[in-house]
Amino acid sequence: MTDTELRNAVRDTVSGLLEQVLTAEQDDSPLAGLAPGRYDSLGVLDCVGLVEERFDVEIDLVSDDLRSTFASVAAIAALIGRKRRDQSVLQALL
Amino acid sequence: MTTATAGTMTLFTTDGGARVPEADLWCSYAAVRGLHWLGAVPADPDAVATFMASRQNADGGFAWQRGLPSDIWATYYCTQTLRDLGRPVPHRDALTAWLPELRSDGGFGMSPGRPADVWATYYAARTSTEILGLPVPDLPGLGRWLASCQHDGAGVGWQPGSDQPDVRAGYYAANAWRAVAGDAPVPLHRDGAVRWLRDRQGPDGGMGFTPGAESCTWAAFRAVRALNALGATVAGPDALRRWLAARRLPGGGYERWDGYGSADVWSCFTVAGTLEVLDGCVGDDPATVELVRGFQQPGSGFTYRDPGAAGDSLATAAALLSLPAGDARAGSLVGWLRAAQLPYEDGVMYMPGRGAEIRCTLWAAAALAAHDRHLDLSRLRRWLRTLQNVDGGFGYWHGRGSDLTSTVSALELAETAGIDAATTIDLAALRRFVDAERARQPVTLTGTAQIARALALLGATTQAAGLAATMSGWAGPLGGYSATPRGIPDLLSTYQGVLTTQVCGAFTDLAALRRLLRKLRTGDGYAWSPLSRDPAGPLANCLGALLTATADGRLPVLPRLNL
Repeated sequence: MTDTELRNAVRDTVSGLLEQVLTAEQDDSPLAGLAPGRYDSLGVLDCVGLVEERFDVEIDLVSDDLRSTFASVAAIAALIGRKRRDQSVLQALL
Repeated sequence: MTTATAGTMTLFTTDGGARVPEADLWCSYAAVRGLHWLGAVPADPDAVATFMASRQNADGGFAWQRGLPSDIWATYYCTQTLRDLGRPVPHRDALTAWLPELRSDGGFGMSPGRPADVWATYYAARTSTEILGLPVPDLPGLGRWLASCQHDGAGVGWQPGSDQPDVRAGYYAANAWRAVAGDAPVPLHRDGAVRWLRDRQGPDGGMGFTPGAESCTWAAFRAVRALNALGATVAGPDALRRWLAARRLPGGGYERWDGYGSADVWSCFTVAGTLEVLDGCVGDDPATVELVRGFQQPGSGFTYRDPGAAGDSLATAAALLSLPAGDARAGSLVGWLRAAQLPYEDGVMYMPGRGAEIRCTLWAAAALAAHDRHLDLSRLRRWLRTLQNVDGGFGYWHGRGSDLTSTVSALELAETAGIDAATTIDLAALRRFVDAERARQPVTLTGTAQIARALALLGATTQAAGLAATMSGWAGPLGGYSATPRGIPDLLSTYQGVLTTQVCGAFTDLAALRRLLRKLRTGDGYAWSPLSRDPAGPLANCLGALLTATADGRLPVLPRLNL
C-alpha cells in the first residue's frame, strides 16, 4: 500500500467513525475541530480501536501520545506507516 | 488441573503461601493502637501515617485499597490510626459531608446506600464524635435501632431481627452508644445484655464469641470492653487474667487461643486492649513491642506478622491459579489455603486470624478446585448457613450487611466447591435480595454481570441469558469491557464480562479480548488499565493470565472469581 493509498484508507475509516465525509484537503485539519461533538477523548479511543482492527497495527495508549498521533488523518496515517515500517524491519531480522 | 501461567511477580512467603506487596489497613490500625496501649510507637511512624492517608478518596472517606469507593470500615481504621500517631485527618470538611450519607434505617451502613449494620454504626459513631467532634443527630432513632438488634432481651445481634447474638455485636452496640450519648442510659435491656456477655466466660477462664464457642483473645477483648461500656465487669477477672497469661509466648506476644502457637498483630492488640480495661493499664512489655514493630513493611504500613512469613489467601489463591502445571510449589500453596480455614470460623480468612471472608473463600475454593482439591465442605456448608442475613443476602463476613458481590459470591462458592446450594442456602430469600438489588442498583457492568450469573445459578436461565447479552453494551473498540458504556476497558470489568458471557451462554468475542490483553500485558504481568505501564500485582496478574488462557483456547471457562 502506497502512502497515498494508506491516507485514503485512513480518511475513509475516520469518515465512517465521524459519520461525515472528509476530503483530502482536510487531512491536516484537527479532527477535534471538524467533529467537536464526536471526536472527544472517547472518540479518539473509538478511532484507535478501528485503526487497530482495519490496519493490523497495535497502538500503545501511553507511549504513542494520542493527542498528537491521532489529531488528524495525516497524523494517523503517518503513525500507521511508521508502525508498518517497524514491523517490516523486525520481521526481516527474525 | 486448570491453571494459567502468570509472571514471576508473586511474593512467596516462608509460611508456604504468598502475599500481596501492599501493607494492610486493619493490621496497621491494630499495630499502632496496640503499641499505643503498650506505651510505644512504630519504628517508622511517618511511613504508616503516609500509607493510611493515601487511602483517602476525594469524598473525604477512606477505602480499603486505592481506587475503591470509601467505606466507614476503612475510614475508622485510617482516621483512628492518624489520631494515635498525632497526625491531622486531611480533608475534614469532605469527610464531614460524607459521613451523614451513611445514615440508614436509624443506624449507619458501611457505605452510602447500604443497609445499617452494627459494625458500621459503631465505626460511624466513633468517627463522628472522636475524629470530627460532631454529635450524631437523632439519638432516639439510633437508640431504637440499637435496641432492635438485641435478641430476646439478652445478647445483641448484627442487625435488627438477627437471632445470632455475638459478643462482637454487643461490643459494637454498647460502645457506639457510649460514643454518641456519653453516660446516658444504654437503650438495651442492660441486665440481660450483661448477663449474656458474662455467660460467655468458659470454665477455662477465657471468653468465647457465642454460646459454646472456644475461648480466644479477640472475644476476651470485645467482651471486657462491652461489659465496661455497660458499667460491668466479667464474672471471673482473675480467671481471665490467668487464661491470658497462659497465652504468652516465649519470644514475646501472645497466641490467640490455646494451642495456636504463634503471635500476630491482632492477638497482641486484643490482649493489650483487654488488660488496659481489666487492669487499668498495660505493664511494660518490651518483647511484645519489638515483636509488633517487626510487622511493619519497610516504608509502609503493617501486615499481621513478619512480612516474610505473612501469606494472605487472595495472593496465595492467585499464585495457585497461576502456577504452571506440575509446579512443585503447588503443594505448599494448597496446604496454606486449606489451613486458612481456621478452627472456629469455617470459612477462609484473608489473613489467618481475622474473620473469614466470602470473597477470599471463593478464591480459595476456585484455586483448590483447579488442582482437584477442596476445603472442608461440611464446615463450609455450616458457615454459609450462618452467614446469610435476614434480608436473604450475604455480607463480606459474619455480621456485615448484605451486598450484591458477596451474595453472588456465596452462590458461586457453593457452585465452585460442589455444595448443594438448595439445601444450604435459603434460595428463595436470596432471589428476593437479588431482585431487590436489581431494582435498586444503577445499571453497571459488574452489577449486571453478577445478577446474570446469580439468575443462571438460580435456574432463571432465560433471564440470565438476556442480561448476559447486554454485556455488549460495555464492550468497546479497544476490546474487552469497561465499567461504564463507552469507557476505557479494564481488566476487572473484562473478567466479569467474559465470565458472564461464558457461563450464561452468550457470545464471547475472543478476538476483541486478545486485542485488549495485548494492551494490558506489561513487563512480567498485567495492568488493571491499558493506560497504566505498571504490573498491578498478583491478583491482576492472575486474572490477566486466566483471560489469556481463555483467549488462547486453553481454558474453556474462567473460574468464578470476584473482587
